[in-house]
Amino acid sequence: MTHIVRTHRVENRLAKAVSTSGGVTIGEALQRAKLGVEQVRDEVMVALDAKIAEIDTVTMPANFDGTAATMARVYMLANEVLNEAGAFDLSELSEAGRSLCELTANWRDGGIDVQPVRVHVIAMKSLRRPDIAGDSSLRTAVVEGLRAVTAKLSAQARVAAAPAR
Amino acid sequence: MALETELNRWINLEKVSLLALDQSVHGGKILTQIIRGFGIRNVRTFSKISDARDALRTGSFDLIIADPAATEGDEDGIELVRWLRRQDRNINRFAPVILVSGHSTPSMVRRSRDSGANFFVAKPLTATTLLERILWVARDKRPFVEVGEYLGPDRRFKEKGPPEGAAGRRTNDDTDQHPEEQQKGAA
Repeated sequence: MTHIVRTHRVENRLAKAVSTSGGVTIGEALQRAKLGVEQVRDEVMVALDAKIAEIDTVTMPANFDGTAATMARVYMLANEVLNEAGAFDLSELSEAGRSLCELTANWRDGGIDVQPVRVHVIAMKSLRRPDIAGDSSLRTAVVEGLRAVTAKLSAQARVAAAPAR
Repeated sequence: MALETELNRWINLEKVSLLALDQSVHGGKILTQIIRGFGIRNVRTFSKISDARDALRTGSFDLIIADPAATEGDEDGIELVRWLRRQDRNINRFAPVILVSGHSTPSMVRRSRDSGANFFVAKPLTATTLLERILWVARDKRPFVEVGEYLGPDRRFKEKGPPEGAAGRRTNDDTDQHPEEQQKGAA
């Protein structure tokens, strides 16, 4: 099939804006950006804990309904944990958020066993505890455990989703 | 470009106007803090797609940074980019767009690539990665192409022209061989 291609040569206004004289060095810009992020650290940490608490509440066996809406909410919160923890170098907590995203993405329409989700919640809460947060080997062990759980369940989900031969 | 080797280079982003979309209020704050640190003063940050769309209708932006996973009703950040590229009379139609995404499913990556965005960056965001991408986009000289459903930067990063023996589909297709190919042919 042949498509007609139209080409637009457009002005890059960003290039024009960037090319003006003055400004700061790249090193200074990066330093200022990092300082700026530090200014919202406390606020974001409070929000992070609230997000983990919400995941905890909606996935408690007594509350968990397994609906698509709940799974979408858990996925969204886990995605925010991934981003916001990662921005403050809480890489293991960020990785736990990514692992929970991976897990819930396979069950966006519901039907997931809540136990693996609970494992992630417990891990996230643990990673916020000062004794574990301050010990890199413990943090690594927590995340490796999560990766193993998610990899196993994702493989099962792929097998279940594959068309029967 | 590795920024670590260019720390003493001067940049000026003071005159850049930027629209940011992040559904998470705190994600938006982190993004805004990074951007302001770069010296960009004119930043408008939105958490709702409808508000971002209204701003794109009325304001002029040099750069757009959006989370493809931001959702409102049936629409997401990717649809917002597709909508923008299809607005014939919108001043921001060809504005550079950087999509910044956390967890991505394969279908999201595919849709992002086809949306007409200039670049896709994975979260968590770091100042270094974002500044690298902004400066890359500022130097991006690829034309915009409109083919079928796609309108966005030419996805061919190297203009090697059409495949050997095939006629080009574009009137500006480079029918000469790429220098690397010429060298191979001469060897």
